[in-house]
Amino acid sequence: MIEIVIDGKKIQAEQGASLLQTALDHGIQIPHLCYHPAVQPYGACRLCLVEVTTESHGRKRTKLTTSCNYPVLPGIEVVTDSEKIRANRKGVIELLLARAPKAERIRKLAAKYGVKDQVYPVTGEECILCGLCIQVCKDVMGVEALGFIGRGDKKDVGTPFEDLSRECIGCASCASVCPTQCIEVIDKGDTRELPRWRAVHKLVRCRICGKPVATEKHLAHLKRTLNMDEDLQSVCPSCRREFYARQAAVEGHM
Amino acid sequence: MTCSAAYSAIDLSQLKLLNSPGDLEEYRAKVQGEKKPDRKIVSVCTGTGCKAYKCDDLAGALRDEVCKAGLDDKVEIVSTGCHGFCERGALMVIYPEETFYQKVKPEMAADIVAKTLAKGEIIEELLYVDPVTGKTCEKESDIPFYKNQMQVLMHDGRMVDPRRIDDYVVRDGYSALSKVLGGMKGDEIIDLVTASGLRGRGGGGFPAGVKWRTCKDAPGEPRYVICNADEGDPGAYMDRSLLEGNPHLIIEGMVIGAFAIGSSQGYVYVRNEYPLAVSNLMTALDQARAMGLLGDDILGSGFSFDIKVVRGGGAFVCGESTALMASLEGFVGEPRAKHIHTVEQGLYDKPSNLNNVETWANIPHIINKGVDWFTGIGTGDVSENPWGGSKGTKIFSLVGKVNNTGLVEVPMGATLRQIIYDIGGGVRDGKKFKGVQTGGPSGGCLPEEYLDRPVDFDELTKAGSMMGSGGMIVMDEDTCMVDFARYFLNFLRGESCGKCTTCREGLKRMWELTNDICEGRGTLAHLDKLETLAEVVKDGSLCALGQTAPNPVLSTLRYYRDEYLGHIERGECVGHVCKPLISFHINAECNGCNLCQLNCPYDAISGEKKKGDTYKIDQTKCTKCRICYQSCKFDAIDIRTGTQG
Repeated sequence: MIEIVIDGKKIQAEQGASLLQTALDHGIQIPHLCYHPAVQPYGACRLCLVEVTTESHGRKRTKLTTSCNYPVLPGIEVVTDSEKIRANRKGVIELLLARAPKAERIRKLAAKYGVKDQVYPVTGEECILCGLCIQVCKDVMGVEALGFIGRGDKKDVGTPFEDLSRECIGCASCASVCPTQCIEVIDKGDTRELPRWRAVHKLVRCRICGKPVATEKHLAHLKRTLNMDEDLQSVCPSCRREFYARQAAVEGHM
Repeated sequence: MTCSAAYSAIDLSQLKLLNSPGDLEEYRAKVQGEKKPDRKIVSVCTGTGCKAYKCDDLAGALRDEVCKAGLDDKVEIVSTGCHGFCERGALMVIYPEETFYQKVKPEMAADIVAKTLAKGEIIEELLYVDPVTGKTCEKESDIPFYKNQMQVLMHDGRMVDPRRIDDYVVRDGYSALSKVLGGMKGDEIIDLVTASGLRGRGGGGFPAGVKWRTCKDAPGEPRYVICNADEGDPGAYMDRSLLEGNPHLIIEGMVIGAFAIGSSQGYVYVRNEYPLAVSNLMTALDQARAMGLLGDDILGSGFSFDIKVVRGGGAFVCGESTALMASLEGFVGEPRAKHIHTVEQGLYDKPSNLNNVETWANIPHIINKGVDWFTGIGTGDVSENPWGGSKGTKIFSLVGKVNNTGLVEVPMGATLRQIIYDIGGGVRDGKKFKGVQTGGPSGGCLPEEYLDRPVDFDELTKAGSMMGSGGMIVMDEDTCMVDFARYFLNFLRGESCGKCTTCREGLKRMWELTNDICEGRGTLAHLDKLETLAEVVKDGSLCALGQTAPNPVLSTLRYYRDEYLGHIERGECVGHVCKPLISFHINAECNGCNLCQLNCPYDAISGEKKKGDTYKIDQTKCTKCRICYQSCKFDAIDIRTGTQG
């Protein structure tokens, strides 16, 4: 453990850990959208900028840097809120708001940082190209059905050739990490659709309560990777919990 | 077989393998001895610029004519690299007299051989006439464009055929490598380069020696040595000409660097849009390998190092070090945060030393001529620290509204005035100087008051611009500075990798705001927004593309704010560029010659020829294409803007 200073407070931190995660762990709020502890920091949204002062050869240098991918080093002094930082955050939020006008997290940030209306003509893509869906699909699920397409302001996220993906297992992990909630998941009857990826899957529902469990492909994936008991595959997590709770209660009495 | 066909590529199997520095010196003495001292050398520029003027046909025709005239023994025609005077292509110089012929067409070959080469008769119409003084110059060294330069890196390229390694060896090529492998130590070489004060020529200006030292000391094997030849600034082609014209200079520099740092694998990352540079580089690498100057056991020293050429895929952002290495590894060229520098963890996460083409080109010169020679050129004092000055020469691509466009090499510290006027011959067509853009899309625009500023790594930055990699665009009264800023924003917007919000979204919005101003929809609120957004993009972006993108806008707002205000408050474009703000009108000088009406593609001009009619331009049909304006020989068409309209 090493010691660093954040907003005047002395903090014990793990060398090389993410500065953003370290701050969050200590209850210091730094706005962020493209950061998720389950995957590698990407540094794309530019909301988590902070001022870091380092010292080398007797000279102190302060720079504005993203905190998500900044590796904590001994002796650094960090400021997470200043006029300059707030001005930058406001500017970033204004840009994001025009791109994702419906996103709740961005609207909340806009309210917090004094962004009242749309400053730019709204383009409304909703996706802010944070890359979380791509990373989760690849590095957490091991499926790799998504990637970035194109460059610059025409950049997009999608399946290869924007075609129906053979790899997609319909786990909807992408939807669950999306900071703007722009990946729609439609569960109807025994079908799950993710229209953004043009994905249609066979959905398995809980044989006890009828709520969606997972897609057939996802269950097959779990069986392969986790060697999950087949009997439990058609039971949803809450019913499963109830089942085990009853079993434990019965066993407890025996 | 014609004589021109006989001047063909070298057969690799005929090249001698050299097994020691001694072997190299022996070989050098041999090829130097084979040169006929009383033979005339005709150096024909065959750089990309002159290729557009059929220089290859010219060189071929000259060889054929020399052959026909039986002058083979007396004359040698050499197809060289870029001479730099691109304004006057195709060009050739006859040595030893130094007779300089410019704007030469292949059809003139017969006359040149018969008159000048055979009889020493000068062909007047091919001589250079100085547009400023009106003086005719017979000799190359009399021409101000060359006289006022200090050609160190460019010089040899004008004398060697890049596809013939012997030409390089004859001019002491690979003697620096010889010296290095003849007993110098890696640390010694790095100290020498650091003491010289050589700073990165790609624009960053980071001391090369310091970078080499950090790379050598960084843990991890193997180490890589990389040449950044992804030159992407619009209008800049210094690196292209160096690679095309004298690739061995860069190869030699890289081998020396690799030896000093302890690397056995090097890469040249070069734009695919530079086919001649790629071709000449590959030829040079093959020849160097065949002679044991590259590859296994170089000159029998036990040191092995080879270079792979990797071509870019058409992305300006791949000039950024982390994006370049991602591209080299086969991934999309997207930069990453540099909290850990590439010199410690770069290509494949290994220590990687990346330097620009021109930086590598300086190395053999520094090794051969020494630190004192190098520090004797340029500005400042690097005895305490290498950031203390800007040493050596710098090549600039001087383009735009200037008389002598081309590549210019001067000592660091030469002023903008010296470059633009003494060498460049000033603004063309008698127009008024308005500004000069330096540093490409990352740089800024400086007005007349700054003409006496010395050009180096630090002075221009103080004024809000930067030297950058050497692009220098001269603008005159017919340039609209708002349109100019919009041009660079458009360029960078297209080249942005799209990863970070500030660059991707910010440049788009900055372009929209500037475009609104150009098209007459601008308000003062636009200016406020532009300035605020510029700060957000500058401070918030991930890499130097985004961080420096606001510079053209910020510098034009600083020095030409009135032009922005003119567009916004008075509907005025003083450069007469922004079409929605200008209109064309026929004035009293019109004598009814009808030329404008004949040429107008939109039938917008009414009037009957020579009938005393008043000719008029129908503003509803006029598209401001300027064809009438350019056709009129009587100055009878006015361009009005703002309140004049």
